[in-house]
Amino acid sequence: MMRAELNSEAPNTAADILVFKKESRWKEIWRRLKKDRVAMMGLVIICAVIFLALAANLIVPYSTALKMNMKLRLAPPSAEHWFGCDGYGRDLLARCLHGSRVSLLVGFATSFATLLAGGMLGALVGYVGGKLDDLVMRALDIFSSIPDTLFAMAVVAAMGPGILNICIAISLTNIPGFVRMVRSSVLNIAEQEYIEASRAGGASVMHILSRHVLPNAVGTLIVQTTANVASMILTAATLSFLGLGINPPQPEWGALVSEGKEFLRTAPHLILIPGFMICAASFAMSVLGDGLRDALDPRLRT
Amino acid sequence: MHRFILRRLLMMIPIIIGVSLLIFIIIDLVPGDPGSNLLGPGARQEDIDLMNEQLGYNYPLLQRYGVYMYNAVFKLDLGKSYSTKKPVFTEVVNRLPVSLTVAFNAIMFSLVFGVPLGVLSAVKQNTLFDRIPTGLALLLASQPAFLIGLVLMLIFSLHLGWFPVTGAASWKSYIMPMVALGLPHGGRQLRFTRSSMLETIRQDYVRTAKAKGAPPRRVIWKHAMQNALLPVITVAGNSFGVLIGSAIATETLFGLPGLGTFVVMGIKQKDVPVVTGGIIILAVIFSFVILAVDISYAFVDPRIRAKYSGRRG
Repeated sequence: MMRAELNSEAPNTAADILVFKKESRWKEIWRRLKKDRVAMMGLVIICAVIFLALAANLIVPYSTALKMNMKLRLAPPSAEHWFGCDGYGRDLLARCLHGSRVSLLVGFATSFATLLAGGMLGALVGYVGGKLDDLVMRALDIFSSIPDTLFAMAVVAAMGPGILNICIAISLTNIPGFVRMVRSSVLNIAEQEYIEASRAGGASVMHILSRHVLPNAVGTLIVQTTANVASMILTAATLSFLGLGINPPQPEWGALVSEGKEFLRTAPHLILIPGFMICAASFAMSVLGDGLRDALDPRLRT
Repeated sequence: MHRFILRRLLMMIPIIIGVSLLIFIIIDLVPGDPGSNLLGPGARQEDIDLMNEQLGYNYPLLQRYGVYMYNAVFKLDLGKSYSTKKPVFTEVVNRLPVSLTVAFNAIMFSLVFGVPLGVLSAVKQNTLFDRIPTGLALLLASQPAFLIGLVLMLIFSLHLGWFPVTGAASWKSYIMPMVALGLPHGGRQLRFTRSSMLETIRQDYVRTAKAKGAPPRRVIWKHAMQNALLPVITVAGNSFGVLIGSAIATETLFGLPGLGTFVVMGIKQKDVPVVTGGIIILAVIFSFVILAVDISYAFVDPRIRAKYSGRRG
């Protein structure tokens, strides 16, 4: 509370405002986030997973993830193969590590694409309103009447499996919801007096959008994007599990679970380990999103 | 109120047309033509051409869409499957009850534990009764349903032998899919109920009720609950879409002969009529669920009722 009151002491010059905003707003958020132990745990987990995914090639070469060795078929975890081996005797650790590259790439790339496309469209229709708004929202009504996974499946059916195609499919399914969210948050901001003042001062739509509306909506955008990563990792895993994701033998978490399910009785570690990674990544992003939401707007703390 | 329902029903027409057209266009991108798919690889080119001609494949996209929808609505004909040569419509009708049972069970299961626990954790905010359920809920919501299904399978079918692994022979086959789908869904339900309840508890009228000395139990059940549960209905309806997605994976995992398995098989075999028909039917069902939610919402929320009863449409 003390901090919030301090913030309301308005600085005088434009330069002050700039410094004030850049310096303290993010520091303030970071300070609050650091206090949230659960969110920090999420941040640590997700950073670790990202680090492992980036360093996958240094830890084990990609060829290890594809190298079959029938002698090691369904081998349980051992000192040499920490996570054991799959139905073709491929090292599961290598497959999980290289699989995480695909899963995380899909999760983050689709969220980022959704953020860009959905954010821009939502801000535009929310701010401009009128006929454009009506038209876009009706079109989105149609889009969102198709369940997400189903729509993604239709797109994959049309374009075939593959990383790029699932990225396109998953982004497309998530854009409508994102546009709606950004739009309502922009509608809220657009009613504020400082926007009116700026418009009265003759600022252009693009100026108002980029300098006033978006910076104020950025919190909502960050929180939603973080939560999106969590859900898109799950959607990607579900698609791959159904065999509609990546092309085998390329590893991906959902595909690894799907490959492992035939050996459920004899080698349950084949589904439990990649399954655990899906949950860990998705859980970490969810708690981080919750923590960010609380840190960005302590009034909403629930 | 009648106006609202009527208007909402009329809005369904463009939505259904839009949804089916969109799916039709997307699936149309699948390479290959129906003639060569139906007749198989050994067929002569003339036969294939004749077949395509008969099926109207050579007409422009919009015209084909019109014919497709005309047949679907007035003749209940969604075309024939490329692989089984059976009418898609009968197949869909036969499989629909399985999918609806799975979805309905899962929603009921998730509501039964999600809503009460959500209320509990909101009322007991920041105590162990809050932390444990919310933590658990987030953990559950981060699981893909197929993974929970696999773990259940491992424990209850393979080790304990209580339930069959796959198939839809008896009611027992529906228990594990219900739990696998319902647990992550219930986790989301719990989180939403909690935040909605917390928001309501902070409202002025709840404080007034407390201040005038109403017993806490009455304040929670009478004043707060009724209002907090309204948004929960919407979420239950809207998240039905997420549920359909995970239901497809769950059906496939447990080998249930539902619509989900049908569509997945169709996609893998590039069976265009199956995919188009299956997805359009599922999307239409989904729109009707949303419609039902909207209407029931208007029934229970006096604010919306007032908005539509006073003035014109």
